[in-house]
Amino acid sequence: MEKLFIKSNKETPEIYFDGNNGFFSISGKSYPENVNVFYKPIFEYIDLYKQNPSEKIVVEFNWLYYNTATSKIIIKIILSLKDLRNEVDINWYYKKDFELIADKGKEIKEILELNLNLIEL
Amino acid sequence: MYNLYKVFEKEELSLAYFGVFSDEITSMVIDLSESFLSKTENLGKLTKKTSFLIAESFQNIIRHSVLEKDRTTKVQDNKDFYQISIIHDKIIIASANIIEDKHINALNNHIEHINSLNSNQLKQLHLQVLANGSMSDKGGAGLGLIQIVRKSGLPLKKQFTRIDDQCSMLLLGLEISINKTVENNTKYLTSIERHYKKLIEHDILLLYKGDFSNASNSNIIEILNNNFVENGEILGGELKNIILIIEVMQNVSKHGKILNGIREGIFVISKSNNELYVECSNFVNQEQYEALKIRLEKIKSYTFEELDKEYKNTLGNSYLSDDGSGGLGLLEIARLTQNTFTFDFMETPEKEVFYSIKVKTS
Repeated sequence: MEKLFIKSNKETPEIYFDGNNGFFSISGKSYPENVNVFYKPIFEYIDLYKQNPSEKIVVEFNWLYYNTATSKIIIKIILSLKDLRNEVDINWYYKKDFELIADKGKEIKEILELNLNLIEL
Repeated sequence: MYNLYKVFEKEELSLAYFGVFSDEITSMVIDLSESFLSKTENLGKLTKKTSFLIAESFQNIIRHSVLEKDRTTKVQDNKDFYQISIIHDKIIIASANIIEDKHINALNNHIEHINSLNSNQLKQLHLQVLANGSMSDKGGAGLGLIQIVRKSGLPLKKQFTRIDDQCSMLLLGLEISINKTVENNTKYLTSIERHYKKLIEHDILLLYKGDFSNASNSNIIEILNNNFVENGEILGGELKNIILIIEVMQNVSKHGKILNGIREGIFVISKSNNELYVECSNFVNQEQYEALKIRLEKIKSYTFEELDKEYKNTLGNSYLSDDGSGGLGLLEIARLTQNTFTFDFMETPEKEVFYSIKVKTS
């Protein structure tokens, strides 16, 4: 399948999804007016990927900041990929001093009870 | 907040910015001003011309401003100021600079001289300054004002107001008629000065009144973020403030009532006792008002533990409404402010409900 690349914008993150290698990366800022509209192609890509998933799945988040509506999207992305494989590597990168982003990662880890690797950059 | 809204009520769009003007934020304020223009119909060729005038006017503030370090205590209370407003068929661009009195005569003569020239004479003067003009220590070559008058074909309105024994405020304004009838009045300078004083009185650093679409929101957010940046990098300790501003703006935007085809609101950043406050207001529907009031009162009654629990419960369910609301925004505002945010609903004489939410940043 083709890779999905969406360039970052003022209010939306960079998306790099490589279904063949099971690699899903989102980085930057996210506070679009309607998250459903911006993230629609991402979920469409995941639906397509589900037809022929790879052995290994790696999901990477490297956030500057995001709004609360985006946090629900993050949960949805993780859950939809986790449905496919028991073992999904989730790497949650955060910059030094970005404690708030680290805390948000910890919160998701706690709520979803999953292995989420918090990695300080 | 409603009283402040009333001051700007007749302006369809208004952006006022106080503070330190630098080249870094110029482009962002220009972007925001341009997003104003994109909402105004029948501008045609004026859009490009106005964008140019906005940029020049803005850069003029930077170049004539008294350096921060030179300011006396009294002058520090009077900040450089920029405002763009759209009122019916007019675009008004205004700037206020604090200038040292020793420059007044030269500046006054310069403005009067360029106002008196016809287009050919302006062109000659432009070429002459290009050939001979020396760059000032802030990078200006005396061309900005000439260019503004040349491009607009309008005289530059000016007003000097004494501030102390060393400095004065120079108010400069341009009124561009969208219907192309050139009006020669200075009434609007008086109204700009009234706005300026009102905003100073309320310790306001930035005011935006107009449509709360995301295009405008994101430009405001970017301008504000610039205050939380050092060497091009966002400061980790400021993340909380950035997220707060986003949530407050999006909260008001989502709940806003559509009046005259736009989701109109007012957004203000003010400074009081060295604390920064963000306040956002707009009109809400009667039925939304009831539900929102109950929700806000419930959140305010929560202990930190209850707040945290509801936040996590809401985050864990995958519900998102069609408009992308996840029910977390107000909970996040409460968490980030240690539940110190305040809100207010006011019934206006026109029987509309005016909703405000205010947070203290840290």
